[in-house]
Amino acid sequence: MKETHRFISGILFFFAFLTSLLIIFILFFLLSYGLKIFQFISFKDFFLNPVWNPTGYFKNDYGLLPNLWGSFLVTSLALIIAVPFGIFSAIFLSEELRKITWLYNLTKGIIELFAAFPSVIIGLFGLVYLAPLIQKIFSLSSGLCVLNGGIILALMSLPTIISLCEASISQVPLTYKEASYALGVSRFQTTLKIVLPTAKSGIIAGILLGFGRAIGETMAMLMVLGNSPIIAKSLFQPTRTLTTTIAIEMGETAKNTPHFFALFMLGVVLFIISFIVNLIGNYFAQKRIKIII
Amino acid sequence: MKIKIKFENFSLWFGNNQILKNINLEIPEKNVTAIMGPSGCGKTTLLRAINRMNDLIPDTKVCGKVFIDNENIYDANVNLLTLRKKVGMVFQKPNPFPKSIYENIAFGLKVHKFKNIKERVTKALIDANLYDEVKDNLYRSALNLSGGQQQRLCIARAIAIEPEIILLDEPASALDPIATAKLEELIHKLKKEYTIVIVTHNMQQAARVSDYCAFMYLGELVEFGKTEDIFVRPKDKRTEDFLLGKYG
Repeated sequence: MKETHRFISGILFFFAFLTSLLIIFILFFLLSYGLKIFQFISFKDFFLNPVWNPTGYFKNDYGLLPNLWGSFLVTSLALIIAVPFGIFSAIFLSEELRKITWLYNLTKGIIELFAAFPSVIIGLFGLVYLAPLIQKIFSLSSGLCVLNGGIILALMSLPTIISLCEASISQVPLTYKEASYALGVSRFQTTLKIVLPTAKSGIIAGILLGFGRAIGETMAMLMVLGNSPIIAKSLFQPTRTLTTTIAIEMGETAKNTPHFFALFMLGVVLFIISFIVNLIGNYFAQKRIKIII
Repeated sequence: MKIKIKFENFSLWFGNNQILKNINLEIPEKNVTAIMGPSGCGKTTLLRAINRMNDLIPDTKVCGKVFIDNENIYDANVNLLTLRKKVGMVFQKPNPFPKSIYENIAFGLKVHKFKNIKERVTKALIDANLYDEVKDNLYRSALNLSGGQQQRLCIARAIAIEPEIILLDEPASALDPIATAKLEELIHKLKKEYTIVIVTHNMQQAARVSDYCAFMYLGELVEFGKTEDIFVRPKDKRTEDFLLGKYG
């Protein structure tokens, strides 16, 4: 009995160890390639250069900014759309729909199913349906732009945001709400001033993890953003994100060239951003669990 | 003596389950009225009928009337928020909001647009016999207080918005004897200004704090009268059995 236990925990330890080792290896690999770019250009030429033109005729530019700005713009737009939608849906789900169990379960099922949708299909929707619509409404030459990307990304991060916010809001004890109602406070005020502040940690976690999901998204963005490596000044311009630049260019780059290393460095930046966001998001998610327990 | 709350042929159902059966009861103003009875007899439901908290439970049906100051609170045009401002409530388990002590009391004041919030918070804490214990920690989380302090904070929160009636739903059931004694002392003080209705299944407590006493059994109001009369000369056999500890 004891031997079996030891044997199994040994196997489990081995796989867990292997997984962490792999992750550390990937990180090491990313850094070792990425940092080599600084043998060719200065920090300033990478971090502060507003031009990304790795195959220029006279001069090659490996500026982080157009890619970072694209990621930032699309992700922020996505959150601006998704956060209010997500929180309101979560409130509706947990405070209203919960009473009708079958409909509640059905709706939650659909939302969770949506999270499992392949991103290429959502991208297809943006490309085939949303792009012509945006083009027509705003009379643009192309509907592949920041706005399109933001909407698609909002759709993709909504399930994460809704699920986490909903879980957090429905865990607010009934006694808090009762106390508030008993003071003659309306449902609206109770939700706004008692329920939401109590569920705050979970809501922040939901938003951050939704952000983490959004910033790493590649395929759908590749399809709907128009992919021009410029610093977009309006919602109707095409742009690129950290992820799409890597995906587009990695395939056609010669190994061990500055371009190759620059793409890895973009990956490093992306990794650092998602790592930090996920770390903070998980911190809030943990905090939520502690409060509830 | 003036009657503050009056139940008239009042019945209540949760789904098909009749919880209250044709209750007729007159609760006098500025006194403590205790509602006693074994578990599941409907005493909490009766209490929650006074501020219509039962409305929160889906599938609740009522029949009959409840008057507060001669106004039927089950009329269609009654404003629930105004009603609940007038009828404060303290629950079985202390349930302060996860906010600071100050915010716990200021919350209701702000919602009801009171002025001089700071003074009112202080006054509510003094009236609830809590001020001296918390005056240096007003901005600390209310969840750090002891159970007894939390319960007195809940009373402070309720009286801050100037209700006329206070409903107490087994307020001492989660408290130790010393905290209970403090709470009862507070109830005694508060009855000069408020009409208090307290639900308890603890007979000694009912005897100690109340002026009037109602005994309920299986959804019916069995007996109501002055506390000393009920305890000394119960008229109904069921009341007598309860007081002798035959069920509880």
